Amino acid sequence: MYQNLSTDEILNKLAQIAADPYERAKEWKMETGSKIIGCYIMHFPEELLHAAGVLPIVLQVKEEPITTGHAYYPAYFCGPTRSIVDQAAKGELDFLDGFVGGDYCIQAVGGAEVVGNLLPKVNNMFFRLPVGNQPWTHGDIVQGLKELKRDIERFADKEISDEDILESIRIYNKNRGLIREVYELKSIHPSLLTSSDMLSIIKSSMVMPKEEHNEILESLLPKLQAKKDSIKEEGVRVFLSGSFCGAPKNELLELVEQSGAVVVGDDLFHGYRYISDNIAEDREPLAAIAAHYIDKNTNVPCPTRCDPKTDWPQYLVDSMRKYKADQLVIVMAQFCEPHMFFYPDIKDAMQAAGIPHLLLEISHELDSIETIKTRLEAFVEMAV
Amino acid sequence: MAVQEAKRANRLKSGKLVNKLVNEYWEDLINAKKTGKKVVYTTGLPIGPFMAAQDMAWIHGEGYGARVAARHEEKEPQTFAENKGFNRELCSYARTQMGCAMFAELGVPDDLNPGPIATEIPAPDAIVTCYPGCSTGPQWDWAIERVFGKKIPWFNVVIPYHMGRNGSTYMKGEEFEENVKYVVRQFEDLIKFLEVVSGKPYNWDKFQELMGVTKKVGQLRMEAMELCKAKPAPASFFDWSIQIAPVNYLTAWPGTIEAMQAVKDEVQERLDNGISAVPKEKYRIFWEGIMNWNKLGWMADKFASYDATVVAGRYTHMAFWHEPDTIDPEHPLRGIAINHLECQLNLGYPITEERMMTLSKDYSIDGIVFHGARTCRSFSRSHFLLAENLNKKMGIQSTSFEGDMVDDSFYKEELVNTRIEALIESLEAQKSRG
Repeated sequence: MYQNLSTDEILNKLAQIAADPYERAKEWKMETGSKIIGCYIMHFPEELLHAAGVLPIVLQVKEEPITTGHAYYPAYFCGPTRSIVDQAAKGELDFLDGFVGGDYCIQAVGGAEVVGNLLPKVNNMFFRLPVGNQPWTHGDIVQGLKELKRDIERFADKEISDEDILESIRIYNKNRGLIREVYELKSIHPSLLTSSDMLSIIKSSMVMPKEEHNEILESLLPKLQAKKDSIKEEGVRVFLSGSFCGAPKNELLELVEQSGAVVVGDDLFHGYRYISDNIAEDREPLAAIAAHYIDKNTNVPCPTRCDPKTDWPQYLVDSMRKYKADQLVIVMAQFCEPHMFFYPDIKDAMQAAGIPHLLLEISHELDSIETIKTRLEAFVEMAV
Repeated sequence: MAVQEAKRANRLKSGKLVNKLVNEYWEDLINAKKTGKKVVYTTGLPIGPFMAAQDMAWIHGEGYGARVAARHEEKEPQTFAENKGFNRELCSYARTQMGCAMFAELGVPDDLNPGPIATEIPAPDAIVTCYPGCSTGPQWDWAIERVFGKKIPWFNVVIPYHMGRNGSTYMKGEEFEENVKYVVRQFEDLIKFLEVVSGKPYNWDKFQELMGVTKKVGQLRMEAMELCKAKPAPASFFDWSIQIAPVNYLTAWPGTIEAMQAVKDEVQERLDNGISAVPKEKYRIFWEGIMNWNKLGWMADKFASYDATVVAGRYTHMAFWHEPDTIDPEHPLRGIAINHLECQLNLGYPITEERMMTLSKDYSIDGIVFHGARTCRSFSRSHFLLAENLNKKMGIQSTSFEGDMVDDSFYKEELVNTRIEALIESLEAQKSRG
């Protein structure tokens, strides 16, 4: 169905899905009569939910200003959690049948508590994902997965077999692999896709059936392959980092490119971090998912995971070299504590490696867009 | 209009006994290296006895931050941390201790002139995290581990959030029991870790003895606080805040039983003689939120001037060995786990609300003050829900204002005055309506 569409038509379709992130899921619910579970950012085993026959979607930050939600969550909490609370307060999440929270960040815990209160009819689940990386951490994550599996089975009234989980893992692995292929192309031909295109690809993957997304990507990839050599490459090569939980706003990504940069790689949650690693298909499924949490954090370190064996600043230095990036732009959501704790180390590592970086602390309301624009332009100009 | 006269809170006199113990503790800590003791950095709930049993010194990050602030030395370490790139929206305890730790590791920069307490922190030999209900704690300790060059062994006891899944409630249910087992197992591993750090077999006899002390102090404190269900209350939340040290970083320190017994005796004596914490108690208030350490005395007098006693709080009444009877000194790990798991920050919202309603009823609460500590988002995460639901379910009115634990730059005094006044006025109107 997508093969006959042009590259731009496919990208526009994905952009539409991403812009109105719950509409496709609602359609799916009408079509199938099945249930939807919202995953409260940022770590959750979508495969396990999928295996129960429900559609897991990653709850998204909406660009609109927070209004009703102010009554339920303080203004000095991060934009992603406040935005989701706001959506729940406005009734925009009433279509959910359940949601899954986690305790990797206290602001996410509090947000899930408020959402649970605002949506009393929605099944409120929790994924216990212990932080750290001790000899027993893998076993502890398996236990957390078993507890969640038990709760999902009760919720979906369906026993989840190992084969069900394995089949879901295969579908999700395929999606990650296809998106990594897009990344590979973009890293070599950065002007092939804009950052907003990449965001649409990732974001749409988070909110629609993966099977359908795979079909779209399988149509898109050959078209990108065919187009890549005709693209003229120019611009300062920039690596984007940060923006945990919520997607950076398109407006911000456009500013990066308008300032004369091309984005050659990222470690955004709505980016490479989401699809960096596959889950092993030759292990007992829950053990494989647990190992995935540890392994992917080794490959793309996350400051919420408290694993001292990982080194996020060094990962960034290595990534800059791998992608031949000239500059690092750090997008930090205002009030994001895990990120704030790490910024001094990143700053020191970049200074030691002689890599220029720009820190943009972004409020949900993007109330200083002109300042951001000026800072980006001045920063990118340094490398020209 | 509420009339504010200059009245002083009648604070407990026996509270001063704790000062002597506090000084002994800090003296021991500062000289730990000289006396051959290993130093362990900790954050979160009190786990001092684990280290004390091995004759190790421990420094509690929040306790240290509060001490530095209480002596008005917090600005310099906070400035140092900010200059290094730590955002001022981060936990102010963390920023304060990080600044002090960096003074110890990197030296004091020429343009800063910190006080003696802010520069006396010894470097750690190990880090032990035991943080319930707050992701900031482990992330803070990880930052400390990096400040000291990633060379310090770090043990993180993961305290799982007690959400209240599948009908689990306070100290009950499948989720609760699973969590207790999980934490006990980690404590067993912590003990092995401490054996390695200290280089000697674990001294279980000493540990059991210390947990006996912990249980006794916990019981005395809870009994003393419960005496304040009486009207008027003989002591206030502000007294209990001052008395936190013996159940926090001073847990099981020599002399804590005697100190807490003296406190309880004084409360009982006041009760017997009709002496109250606030001279003419008219309103009874619940303090919801963490304490603002550099405003404690000011705040106590502020409420006294409105004839309002702050009788209880989630900070003091729902943590710090608040379930002492669960501790079996012979087999202490389960009791420690329960006290940590079921503390004020680690409970899911429905459980928190139920506990708050119970305390509000037990202490005959008229109104609630929500202190939104700007950089303690763990505490303030449920404030708006609690305000709405306690009003809806119990008719309790409330007010709220922003502040902080140890960064008074988040404090707007006039706003605080206005908000407290508004609450008192609405309580007055409510009482006059009968």
